Amino acid sequence: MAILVINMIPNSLSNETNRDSEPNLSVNPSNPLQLAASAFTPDPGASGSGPIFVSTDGGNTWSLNVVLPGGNRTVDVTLRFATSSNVLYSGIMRLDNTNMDILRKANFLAPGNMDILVDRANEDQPYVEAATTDGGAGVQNDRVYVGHNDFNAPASMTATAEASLNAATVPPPANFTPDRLEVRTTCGQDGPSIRPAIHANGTIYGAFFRWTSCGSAPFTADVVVVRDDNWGSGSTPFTALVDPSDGNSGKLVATGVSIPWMSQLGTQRIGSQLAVAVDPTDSQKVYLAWADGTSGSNYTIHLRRSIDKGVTWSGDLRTIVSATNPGLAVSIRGAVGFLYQKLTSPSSGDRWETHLERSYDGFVNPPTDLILANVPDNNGSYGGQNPIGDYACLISLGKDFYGTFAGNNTPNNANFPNNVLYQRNANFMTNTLLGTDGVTPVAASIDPFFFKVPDGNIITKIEIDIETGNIQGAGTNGRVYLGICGREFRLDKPGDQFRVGISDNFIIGLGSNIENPNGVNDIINSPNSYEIDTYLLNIFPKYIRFEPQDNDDNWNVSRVELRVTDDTNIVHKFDALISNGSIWLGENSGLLLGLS
Amino acid sequence: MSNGQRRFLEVATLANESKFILRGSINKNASKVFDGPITDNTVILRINQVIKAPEVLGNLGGKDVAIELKNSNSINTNSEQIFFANAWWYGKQIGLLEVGRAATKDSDDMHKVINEMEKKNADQALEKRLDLADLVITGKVLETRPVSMKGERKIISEHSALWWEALIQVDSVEKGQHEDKILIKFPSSMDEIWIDAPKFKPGDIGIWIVQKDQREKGLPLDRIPGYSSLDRLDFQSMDELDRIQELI
Repeated sequence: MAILVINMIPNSLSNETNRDSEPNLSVNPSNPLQLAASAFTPDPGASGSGPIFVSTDGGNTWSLNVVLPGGNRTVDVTLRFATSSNVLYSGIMRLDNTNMDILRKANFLAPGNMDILVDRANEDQPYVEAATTDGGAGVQNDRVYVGHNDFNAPASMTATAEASLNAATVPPPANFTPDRLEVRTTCGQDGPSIRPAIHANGTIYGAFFRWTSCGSAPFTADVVVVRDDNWGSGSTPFTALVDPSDGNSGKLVATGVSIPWMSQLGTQRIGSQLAVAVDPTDSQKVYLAWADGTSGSNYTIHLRRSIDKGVTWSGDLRTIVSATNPGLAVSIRGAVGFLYQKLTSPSSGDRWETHLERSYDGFVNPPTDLILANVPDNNGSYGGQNPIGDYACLISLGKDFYGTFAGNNTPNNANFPNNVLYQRNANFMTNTLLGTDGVTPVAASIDPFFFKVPDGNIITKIEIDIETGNIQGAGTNGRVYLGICGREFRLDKPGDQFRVGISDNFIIGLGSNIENPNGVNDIINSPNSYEIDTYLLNIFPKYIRFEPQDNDDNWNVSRVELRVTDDTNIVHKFDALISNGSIWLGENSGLLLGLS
Repeated sequence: MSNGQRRFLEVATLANESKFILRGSINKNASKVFDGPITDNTVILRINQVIKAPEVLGNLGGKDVAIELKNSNSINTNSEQIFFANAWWYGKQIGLLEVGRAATKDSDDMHKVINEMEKKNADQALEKRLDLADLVITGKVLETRPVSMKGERKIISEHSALWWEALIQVDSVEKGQHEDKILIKFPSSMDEIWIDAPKFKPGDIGIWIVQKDQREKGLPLDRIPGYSSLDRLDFQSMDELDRIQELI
């Protein structure tokens, strides 16, 4: 499957020129075709409520559903589906009264505002994560954690996670209570970014900036990670990780970092960028990224890792200068995704490059780097300080990465190295947005973009040529299997195969010529049934396995060539290392022939 | 009240509650066309005339929209009516929720109704600001400067107002009482919360609708005492003076 980059603005809004930035995204784990996303997009109908973006086809198309209370648009907004309940949760700052609301909706596609579970003043930047647990006796509990900077907290220890252990159906406030993450003194508060990360076994990490000096910029801060080992359900939640330097909970991953509060990188304000992600296959592995510096020009993202539940941390695995909006996610294959937006300054003017790096070895070797967008730092009619948003978003579901970012929406293929699709009317020849009439030019502005980066390309065709040796007794009536991507396929087609001196060609998948290509219930001898991909191709051995009819059945092979085609039409070739012209397979000489 | 007046009032009420007023007829089953969720009451409306709709959506004339009717039993396919509705879905097409309906003979009155309603709504919105105001003045900005926050606890947020104040020479006092100069606070921030709030610079002339120690806008802990004009309606050009004097 190819990389997908989609401009999320629906076709019916082709006239719009808003700054639709600071996007957030969730994929429904129980139905990955369902996605919800948010941005600063206003309701075109000015109803007094704001919209979310919704998709029911895996992100290929997007629409707006007006469901957020508190004004035609929201201020801060994040959203998450729980694991299996289909319920969508959101944390917002309302535009009308700046209160933080925690919201819930059972059917994210239905009309009508989300239910308000919590409504509170003097809060900042709610960031929601959610999971569903088995509560026993068939009970499913949604566990929801909203990181936020709570100015109501006592003693200026503001970093907080609003937590509910059972949020799906109970009436407001749905069991939400504030869990204080900060235990140390601060300069008056913590930084705005408080980020939770949930592992399915109940390990929850929280990351935030502890501000130690905030009189004038640049501020000084510590980067803190806390942990809870049982869903934050105990009497002292998020105190499982203690820093030996002071015996307080919360590991000081970095201390004394500089925060250029409200400085600018290009036209974008900076000052509190942070991301954390836990490996879904191993709760001891956690990744952290934050940005620091004394000004925009030296604003640097640091990426680090712990493999012992946050007790010790690596040095910088990645260091990205002049970058902001880090995102982190880890797939079920252990691949680490690292998203960021980097300001580059070619002679033609500042540009924002949105990068997705992926690493399978913990960044020991240079990661794969995808540039999803390379757009001008040009904000149309928007004159504010937050054109692309204080955060972008990266998540992983299964083996794949999904995310959202914002940027200039000029329809220019050169700006999108991995292709892009627009729903709104656009002319890529003249690099002009067009209105709903398909004719009238529309000024460029800032749009949200969705991306899906599958891990590995789907294999669509497997073709193998096997030549039986041209010597007496070389042929066989035995069975032959191809091992690939962690499974086997039987190589058998109508007529006789594996005759002396004959080359047989077998095709599995597209253009199949083998017996039972679809078989019973479509589960026999078809790569499509298992969605095998190039990642599996690379990690599992490839081989021919001979199953002789009896102890005296031997088979001589002189040539094997395997060709695997993926859905981007790349052909991967492998063959057998056969010295001396041929090799015998049989009970007494070995049954497997490896391919490389 | 005559039947005509009663009907006018009904239509005016529907118009006031609706962002969309469309003349059209139902002609299709929504399930074959609409890209959003549908119910048994969702049908496709072919728009013959747009009486009112948000400008950003362009010309909807001749286009199809999905509309969820309050009661699908009463609809006559292909007969033209006026539909009052609000939107809930913006995709490839627009999804509407019906507010009400009217006969096409009412369409002659519709533009008059809409104009009167929009003027009334605008007056009501401004009147609301005037009612909340402690002062209404005309004048000119002499200078602007940051507000000194020394000694006061302030929170730090990307949504902080970053208060400035404008020293205004008062020409007239239309509501309340004040001396000839006044300091009016305003947010210099261009954050989402404040981007629409009026910003002032030396030389600005106009009408200020002023609250003292406002409790409306911004994070409560970020608010500061004093006079302010924070809503986009709270600063008006001198052209509006007659209207404002009438509304006060």
